[in-house]
Amino acid sequence: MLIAVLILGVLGLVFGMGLYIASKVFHVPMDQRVQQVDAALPGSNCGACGHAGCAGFAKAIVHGSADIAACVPGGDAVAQTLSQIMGVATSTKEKQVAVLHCHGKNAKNKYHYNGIDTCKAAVLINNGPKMCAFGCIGFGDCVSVCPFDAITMSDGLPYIDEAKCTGCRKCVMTCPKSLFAMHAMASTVHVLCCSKLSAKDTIKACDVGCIACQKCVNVCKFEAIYIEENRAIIDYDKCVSCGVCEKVCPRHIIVNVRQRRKDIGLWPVKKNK
Amino acid sequence: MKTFSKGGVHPNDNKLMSSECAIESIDLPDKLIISMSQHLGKEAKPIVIKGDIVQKGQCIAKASGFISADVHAPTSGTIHNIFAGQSMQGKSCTYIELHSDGKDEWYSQCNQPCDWQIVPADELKKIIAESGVVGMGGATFPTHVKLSPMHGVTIDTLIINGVECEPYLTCDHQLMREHSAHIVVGIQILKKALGVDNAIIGIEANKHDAYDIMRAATKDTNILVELLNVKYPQGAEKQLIDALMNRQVPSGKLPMHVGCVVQNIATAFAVYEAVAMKRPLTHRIITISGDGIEQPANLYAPIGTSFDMLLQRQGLLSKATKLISGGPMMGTSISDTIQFMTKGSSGLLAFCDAKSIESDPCIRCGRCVSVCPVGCMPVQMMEVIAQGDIAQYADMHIADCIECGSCSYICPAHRHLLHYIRQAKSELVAERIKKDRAAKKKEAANE
Repeated sequence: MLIAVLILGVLGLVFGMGLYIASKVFHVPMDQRVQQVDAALPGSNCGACGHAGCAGFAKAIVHGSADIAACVPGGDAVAQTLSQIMGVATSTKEKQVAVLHCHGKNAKNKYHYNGIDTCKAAVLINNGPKMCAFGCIGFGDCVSVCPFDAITMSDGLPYIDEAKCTGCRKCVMTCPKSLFAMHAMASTVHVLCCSKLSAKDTIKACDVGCIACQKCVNVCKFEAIYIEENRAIIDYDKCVSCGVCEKVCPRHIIVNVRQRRKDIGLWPVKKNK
Repeated sequence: MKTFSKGGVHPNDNKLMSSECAIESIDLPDKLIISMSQHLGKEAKPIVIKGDIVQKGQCIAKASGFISADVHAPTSGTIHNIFAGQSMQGKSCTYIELHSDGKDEWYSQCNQPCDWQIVPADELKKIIAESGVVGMGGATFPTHVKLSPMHGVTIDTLIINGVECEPYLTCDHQLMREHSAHIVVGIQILKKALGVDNAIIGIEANKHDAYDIMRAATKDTNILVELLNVKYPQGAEKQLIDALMNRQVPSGKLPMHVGCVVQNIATAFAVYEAVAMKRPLTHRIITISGDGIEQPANLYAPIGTSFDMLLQRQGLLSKATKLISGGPMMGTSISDTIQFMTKGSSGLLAFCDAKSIESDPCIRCGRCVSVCPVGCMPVQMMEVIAQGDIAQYADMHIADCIECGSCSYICPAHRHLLHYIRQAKSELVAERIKKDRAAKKKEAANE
């Protein structure tokens, strides 16, 4: 009994010494700040900063190769914390949210699709089952890719919860039809159609959809809207989100989301000083 | 009888519907809509403008790269319009609309018999390239590119693909029956252009009459004709080389690396027409078949003919619910009849009771693995692709898939295996483009 205890005790001591020596000899110096920065980040590993997850971004910040304001989902709050840890000044960025530029809830199908139920698979077969080759296919690849659960499907189209959207751009990169775009929270008027089809084909394919009628162009006092490739496009540098074009659009694809944002407390946008 | 060693399936060939129908020429359509991307590779560039008057066989678009092919006017008439549209696969491409003048007059340099035997090999290749000949089996790879093997490889055998393993299609079968002598001349031209002595024609056993006819036609030549066991996809290049030569093309390599060049039987005919008769590739034989067609047929039609016209001619049943351009295994399902014949249109099939098949969970039976002719593991691929793990695609050898569809055909759970693989291939292409762009950006930044 005693011998066994002794043997095990001595063995333990020997191995313990070995481990101690190894930890001294093979010591890797770690920057404490990497862990601090990593802890301050949201931890969603969305990749919007361009680095391999939050850990990669933390290393890059400490290394000095990344901008501390580059964490999109973290926003200003995280940037402030990081600036304290790193001791550098930060600039504030305006919050951006994703907007789906398609409003075709009842877009017609050109064929019955029977394949894999993801957008990226459906788009391989003759540009997807919808008659409008530019509109939302509606299988919700954006829903599954959103790391913040900000997108849900309603009536066959993705709905973006702007309170949850952090502007990480994952949906922008995923959508095979490139229907998502990032817009500053302050811009509330959007054209929700990307169809380059002629007016005749658009009417055939979809009950909404831009027919390039020019009404919005004529009514805009700021020359902020123009027609290109059969669809209206807003120049967000000029647009003041007055919403006059919304009222004249006969196809109801220009929408003003100000009221909706007011209702959920996102409007008016708080200005950072 | 020989066949390829690995995998393969035996779909019901349904060739009887149209195999006894002689090749019929259709009435000249008033309007032809000719696609500029009828071949693999870069789109051809139109060299005519709106209002030009062209004659039959006149070049209307030039190849715009190494892998590209010329396009010729199938009849005489006026160029009515040049417009951008969508191909059958949904890709954007340019179309030329040609309104026929009804005279069908040949271009001055075309339609003259030519003694090909005195033409040197390089000149033959040039004529083939200028006649816009592409692989007529469906892949539409420009023929002149295949005839100019890479530096350092020696070709010893020309293989002529008379397999026609796709169910329903009978256009090659009919061609062998009716034009065997011309095909043999075409093969001899191809042999001379390639500089090889050996040529083998592979024909599947369900076309025994064609085998006999080709045997008779090649009696005084050193062209071998081989009868092959019926198995799909025997008409795929690598599988046909395996079946006839017992040579395996390694992963990532081409048939030329094992000393073979494979050309379709219809390509051999097109080469005969192009070289010996100076007729560029402007027409082809298309099989119209399926249970949604009143009168199945093999039609000789100009390229650019609308499918609508072909279907009306043969009688499309109103209860038909599915249309396929090409064969049922590898063809493209199309959503409307406003499509136009291309150099690769080997068939147009209409079916009545196309069922909507729901796919069930994989039961891991492994049948897809056992039928895969290239030895891939479709079930494993599917799992990796569903997870979107691009880093593992290379390990799964996704690029080796020949998209024959045997896995999807055999799957008892009706999983969309080939659809997953095609998706992965498109993701790989997108990834490569992204990488190239990033590399270019970096280069620009460094400068």
